[in-house]
Amino acid sequence: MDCPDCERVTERTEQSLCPIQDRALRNVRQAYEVWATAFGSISPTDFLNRVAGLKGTGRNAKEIVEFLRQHPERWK
Amino acid sequence: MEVTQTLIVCEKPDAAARVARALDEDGDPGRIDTQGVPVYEAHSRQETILVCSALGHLYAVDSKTQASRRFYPVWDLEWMPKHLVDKKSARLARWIQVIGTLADRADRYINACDYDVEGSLIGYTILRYACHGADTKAQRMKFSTMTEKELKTAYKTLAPQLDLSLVEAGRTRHELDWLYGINLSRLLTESALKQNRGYSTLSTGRVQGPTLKFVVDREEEIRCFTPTPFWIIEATVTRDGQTYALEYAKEEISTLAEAEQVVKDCKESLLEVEGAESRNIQQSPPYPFDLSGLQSEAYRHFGYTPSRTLALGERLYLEALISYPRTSSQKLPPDIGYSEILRGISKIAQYRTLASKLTVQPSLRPIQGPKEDSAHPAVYPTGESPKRTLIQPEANVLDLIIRRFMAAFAETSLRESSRITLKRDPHRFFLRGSRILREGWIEFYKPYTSDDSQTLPELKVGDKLPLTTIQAAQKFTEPPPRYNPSSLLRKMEDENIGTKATRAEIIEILYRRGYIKNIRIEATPLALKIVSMLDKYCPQIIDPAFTARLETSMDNIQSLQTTRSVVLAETLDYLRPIMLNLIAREDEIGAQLAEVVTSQRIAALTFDYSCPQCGSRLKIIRSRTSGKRFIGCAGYEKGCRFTLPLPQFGTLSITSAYCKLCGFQLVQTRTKGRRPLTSCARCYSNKTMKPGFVAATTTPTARPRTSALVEATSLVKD
Repeated sequence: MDCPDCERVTERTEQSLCPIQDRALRNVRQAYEVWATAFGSISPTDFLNRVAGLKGTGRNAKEIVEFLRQHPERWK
Repeated sequence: MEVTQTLIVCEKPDAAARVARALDEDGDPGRIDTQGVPVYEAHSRQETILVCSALGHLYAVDSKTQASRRFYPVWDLEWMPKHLVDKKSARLARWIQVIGTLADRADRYINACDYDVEGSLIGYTILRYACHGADTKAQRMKFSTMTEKELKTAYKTLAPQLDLSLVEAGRTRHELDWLYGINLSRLLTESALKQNRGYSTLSTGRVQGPTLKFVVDREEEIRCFTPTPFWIIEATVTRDGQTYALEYAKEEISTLAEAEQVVKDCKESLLEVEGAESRNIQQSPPYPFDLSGLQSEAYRHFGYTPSRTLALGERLYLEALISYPRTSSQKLPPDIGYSEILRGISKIAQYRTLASKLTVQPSLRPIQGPKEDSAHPAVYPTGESPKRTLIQPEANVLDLIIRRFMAAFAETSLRESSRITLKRDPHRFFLRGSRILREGWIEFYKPYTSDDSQTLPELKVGDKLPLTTIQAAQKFTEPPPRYNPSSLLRKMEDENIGTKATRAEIIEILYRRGYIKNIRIEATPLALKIVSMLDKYCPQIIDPAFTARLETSMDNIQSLQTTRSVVLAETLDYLRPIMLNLIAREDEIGAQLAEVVTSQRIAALTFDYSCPQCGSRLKIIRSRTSGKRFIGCAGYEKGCRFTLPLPQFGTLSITSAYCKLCGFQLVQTRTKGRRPLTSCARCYSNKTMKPGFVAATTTPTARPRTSALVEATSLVKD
């Protein structure tokens, strides 16, 4: 995935994300754990759909959410 | 009898006029204008006092060698007349010449610049360089207000020599800042320029770098933020026709199941009063203002940026209405004359009643804050009435200072805080209330205090009342707030970077460079790029801890624990390898910077609002034939002829705000010496055209051919 918006050094991490998107990915994954506990259970798809529509979701987090929607295999 | 000629150097012309008026026997000094430079001549029985002024710094640090201004790294520096360093300061040449001529006639020299590091340094460089080495025999005049009485006293009790420890600390600060700023900024600017994608001034510095990093760190936190859910219980009870909001014992509930259980357990149930408690809380008056306290409060109540508050404060100081505002003290020493100031304040109609309440007190003892400043007390009003009608912002800041000063002498306020506990086992709810029992200082500081009083119903233990409503409201965690100019300044202060005098200016520079935007500060892509590169190649440069250590070193120079040469040598040893490393990666750095500079420049000229005719992007365009600028459509090639007019003077920027009438994106025009003008080009085009605008038109003939158009890349610049 490209980093057209974050403007970070285009140095790739092992997940092929730039450092800021890598951080966003970690945040999204951690948030999913919290969501799953909060609701008892929630599917990744439902979680991504809901997070994408929230006002407080950051720009890079939204990019990651979109990326995960298109690449569900990267969820693991 | 021989008449002594004394030369007094002040920091600004207004200060010179006031000093001369105070020292002249008749209070009416002569004014001599030499080459447009004002000099005041005051007389007393045995001396003629010539009072001249600087215009801030007349001397600045520059490279010792005559190498190109684009060359780096540079390590040898010297102090030079500022007009030789900065083309914009050309008029200062006359100032130096006039002061030099006056110095030849003088027998005695006095530095009467502001009593702080900058003031001491301004006076020192003038006396040393313009007055041909008079710094060694000069005396120092120290004062915190520009009232006639204090100026006269200061003149009678001159310090026998200049405050050299302050001067040395000031010299070191300027030299360090120059070494950092010139080398790093030239490297950034030149490496980007070498990529042949246009010029853009890029800078960083000893304080600028870490400050920008604060903003960028926050920006990244916000951008990566992912909200998580929690629930709060919203419940109400009704008593005697009045509805009261309840607070559930657990502020936030982390699972939906638990929240739903609470609602299920309590719905339509009776709550029983389990207990009621109240306690009295004494609240001390707020501390007297130091500069950052004043800036923070002025931002909170009036929305003034820190730099604006400082400018307003300096104006009030020069009119002898307040004490010196660039202070970090929160203390009001008795020698400022509490009673006299309060008597003065009581002569101003709006404060008469309040000030009179204080003047009748048997003893006046203000609250003192923990912060100290050896040079000046906290900011306080002089008690003098304004001699002219103040403009509203000046009046606001003065009002804030006067009320804060009066509040400092008032007694503590007393508030009763109550809590009633209601139960529906195993759940607990609270009803909270508070009321003011004794206003104390609040009376003096109104309207700058908030009143959150809330009365509670009469209830006793065992009383039962039905729950009127209850629901579990789902909420989400929110990202950390963005900095605003005031909170960023506070952060700089907390991290001990910059000085009280320079912090506000550093924030302004970040805006001017295009690194940050908006009042709720956002880091631009350029800022993200610069910080990420500095972080990668030389993290020390943006490390707040390192900058804070340098600040401590400069404080140590002031307290004679170290010397300027030691600090400079240490800094050079530190900075040299960093620069060499950066120079080795110049191409890599330049390529990345040029890319983001170009994209930011294009973004700065492109509207988010789409063309209402064809939906393409709208841009600021300059006509190559007429030189006029206007808003044009990117769909011109496809035949769209939509245009809108723009102001032809000043620096334009596209704001993130939209017109309330038509929804079009607003444009801001900044012209030096004027307030920024924010306007809607679309609404304007629907009205009669005024001079200075290019008329909007949709006719093809009114717009030049595409080949004659250039994007107005030079319009949005520093």
